[in-house]
Amino acid sequence: MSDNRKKILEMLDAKKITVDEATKLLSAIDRGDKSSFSDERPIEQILNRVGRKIKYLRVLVDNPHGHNGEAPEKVNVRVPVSLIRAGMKFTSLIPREAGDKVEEELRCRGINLNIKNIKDEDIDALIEALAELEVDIDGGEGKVRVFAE
Amino acid sequence: MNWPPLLLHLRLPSREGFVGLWLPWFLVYPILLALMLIALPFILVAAIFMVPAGRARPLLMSGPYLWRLLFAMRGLKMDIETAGREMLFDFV
Repeated sequence: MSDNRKKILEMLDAKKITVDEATKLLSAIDRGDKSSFSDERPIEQILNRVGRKIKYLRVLVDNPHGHNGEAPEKVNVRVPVSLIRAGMKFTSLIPREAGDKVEEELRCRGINLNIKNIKDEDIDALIEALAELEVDIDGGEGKVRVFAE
Repeated sequence: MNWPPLLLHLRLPSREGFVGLWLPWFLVYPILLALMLIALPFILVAAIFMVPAGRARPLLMSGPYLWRLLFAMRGLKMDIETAGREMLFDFV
């Protein structure tokens, strides 16, 4: 049994990851770690990422040619997870009528979200899900990277 | 416990490049606390009138939630560099 498989099973045994997460990781290893994970992110990094507590959400934008082909443009934003949590609490202060309007607008755009009834457990689940978030967009004009750390 | 940000590190663009500033953000808290205490009686009276409309809770809770938001800002960083000009906000 490979080290990675053993590590995944140990994490499952220690209840650091769920059965679903272990299945996903094992299938990633079976696929030879090619479809979901690039060479830059070995399975070790993914194993370390699963089950950890995230502190920040990072957004990095790098446009080496700039907006008009002049000087390079860079954006580096670091948002603490505690700030996201505190911000989400503000949704409970949205007046009922305004909440209805927001929900209707979101529904029109295909997002079915009940912002008036967001509970602490929902916020925790959202924050937990953010740990696995990683967006890499490498366009012709620049790179955008969103990830949790 | 989350420690609130105590300093605000600003980097603003200038003719020579940028100006770095370390602002004493911790001074905001006593000022804000004093303002909130002054406003508290008025907010309580307003909340009593707003109970029938069902809007008393947002009015009363906005203070504590705002406080919580301020305390959660430690680590917030925005670093923007465009056309050779750099701007930075960092709550330390």
